[in-house]
Amino acid sequence: MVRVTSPARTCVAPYPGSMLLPWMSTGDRPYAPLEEAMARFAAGDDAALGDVYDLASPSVFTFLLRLCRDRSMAEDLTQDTFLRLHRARGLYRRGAAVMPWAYTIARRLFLDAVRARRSNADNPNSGGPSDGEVSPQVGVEIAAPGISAEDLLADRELSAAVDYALARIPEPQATAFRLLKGEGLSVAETAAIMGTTSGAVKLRAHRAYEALRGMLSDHLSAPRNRKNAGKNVDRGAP
Amino acid sequence: MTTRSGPPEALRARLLAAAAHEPPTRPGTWRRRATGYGLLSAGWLIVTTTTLGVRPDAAQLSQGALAQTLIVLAVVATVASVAAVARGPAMVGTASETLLVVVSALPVALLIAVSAIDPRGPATLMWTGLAATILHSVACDLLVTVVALPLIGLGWALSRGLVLSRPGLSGASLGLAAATWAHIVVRIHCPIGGAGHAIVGHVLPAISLMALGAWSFRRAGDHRPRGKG
Repeated sequence: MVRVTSPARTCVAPYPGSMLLPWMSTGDRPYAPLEEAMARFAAGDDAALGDVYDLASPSVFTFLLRLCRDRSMAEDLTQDTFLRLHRARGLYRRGAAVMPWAYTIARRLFLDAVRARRSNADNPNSGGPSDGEVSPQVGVEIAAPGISAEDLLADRELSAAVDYALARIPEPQATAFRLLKGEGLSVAETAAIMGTTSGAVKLRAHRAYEALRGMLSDHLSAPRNRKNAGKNVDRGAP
Repeated sequence: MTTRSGPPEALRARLLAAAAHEPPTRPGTWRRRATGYGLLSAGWLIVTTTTLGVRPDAAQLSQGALAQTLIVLAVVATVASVAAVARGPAMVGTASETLLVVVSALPVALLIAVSAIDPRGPATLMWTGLAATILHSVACDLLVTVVALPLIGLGWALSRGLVLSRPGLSGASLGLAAATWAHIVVRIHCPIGGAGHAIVGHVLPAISLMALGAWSFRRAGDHRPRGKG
């Protein structure tokens, strides 16, 4: 799987003690850029919303895109996520980690949107790619110069295969795996976002890992066959 | 090294335009709310305690036992209140592990504590037998519920706008807190002694109040997409 890094992730990293009580975790430590921007926004600086968006939206959007597999829906839900942050800004506690908050809102909005679509007897992925097809929007862009075309292709194919496989396991397992391995969040942060315990997060991520290992065994054991496997993904084969 | 594809540029402009038409909560809203609702809750408890009055046999009771009961109840109510309305280190409420302990272990601890140390002074009214216990507990059940309901409403209002990680558990914790605060008021007023009455008349309503709190928080946590502004 292609490792993904995010500029916004650096805003969460300074708060490894997120299990601590609020009065224990804030201290005199300087706040990370995202938390600082959110604090300014919460204090009434309307212009800081743009900074909050710039710092957090790449991660939130990518997270939603991978959940939705539908770019239009991901854009709508990203906007809704930041509007909810905007509406709730007076409730923000200075120093609180913003990314888990944003991910929680985004995930809740996604689940509610899926439920709303189901209640209308629509397919939640109706606007996105059909089964067996991986959206060209899903995945990552290779930014590093000097990488060979073959490696680039293999990376893209593996990323597509991982996304394809993640779409075929239960949503809680896929989300736990994405947040832990894709977004690099801690187990505690992932548990907070998913509304469950740390033990449950570990179990879900482990099950996702086992499922992925089974589905991607061809990719992992036979690098030469990666190109063929990528073609299989396009044809809808697991 | 890899990076991810970001949202389109137009989305930023769309968000800022939508935000300009959305009323945000004012700076310091949480502090004002917490202060206001805290005072209202305390006022409600004082008013109900004053209205209901102190039990007629208070002077003849074992003051130590009564004080122990009230202290245990106050500790449980405070812990449950904080767990219910805390924003948490990530703005998504108290951690699931803590909430699970609060809504499962605290009621059990409450039952044990109330059964063990509930005052049984010589002048205390007591009934034996299941039917009599239930019959004389109905009034206390109603009192606890009536005293607790506004507290649930105030806690719900305090948490309005938060996106909680486990709204059901937070709501159940609030229900337990409200029921326990109400239990204190009724315990000060009610002259009926005995563990049976304490459990059926004073502790049992917590179950329905916890269910009500969980239901109301889950309803409030429904964030189905609405207009884009």
